[in-house]
Amino acid sequence: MKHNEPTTHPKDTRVRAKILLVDDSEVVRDSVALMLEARGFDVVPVTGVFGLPQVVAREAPDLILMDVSMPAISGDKAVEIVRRNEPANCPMVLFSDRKPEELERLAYQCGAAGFIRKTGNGDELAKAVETYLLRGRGGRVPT
Amino acid sequence: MMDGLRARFMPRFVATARERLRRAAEMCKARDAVGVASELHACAGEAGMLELAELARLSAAGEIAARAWSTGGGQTAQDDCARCIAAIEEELLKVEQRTEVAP
Repeated sequence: MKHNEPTTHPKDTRVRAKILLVDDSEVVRDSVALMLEARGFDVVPVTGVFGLPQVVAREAPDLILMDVSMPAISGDKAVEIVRRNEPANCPMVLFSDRKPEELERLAYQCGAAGFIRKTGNGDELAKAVETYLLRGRGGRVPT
Repeated sequence: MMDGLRARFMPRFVATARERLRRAAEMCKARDAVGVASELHACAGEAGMLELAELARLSAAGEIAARAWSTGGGQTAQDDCARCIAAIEEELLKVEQRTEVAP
């Protein structure tokens, strides 16, 4: 073994980062999982926010993608709940097709790391996820 | 990739969208503007994921109309919503025909 070889950091996206995806839409959950898993991520899909703090504690994800418009409780409120109950040691990112300015405001208000707009472009989505993973917890990414 | 994504999810998307539009139409008749907005928002998001631009645009327009209705519009706003839902149904049918999704 060569000396001074770079070690792999746990948050390095070359290892399979675990993404917790919270979205009430089955089509969105499954299509996002397909796109991200094809690009080397592990995706844990979750249908809603019920019991979410426990899921976060159990799964210990590297990043949480949180849909904003869900029936029982909105994603920004869910971020606040998770932060209060089970401070996630990972970025929580709002995931929505709402307008960027609205998402930026919501992310700021609820304490999310930022937002990613929903897209069917897998490369674009993976790149956005990687950006937040690399910035780590609390990193704000203007997009 | 998008073609693969569409091929894989289109039948499920179409079935879900049909159900959403059915519920939205019922809510529209029952004057539940917030419910209509919620269904059309979901429809727009799912269409956007599959890059069905026109369907996403029409659904988003319907959501905006429903939200306007929820904040005080009357019969005209309700009629606007009903027209939007009809337009989305029409576009969904075109998408189905283009992609030859089995019913």
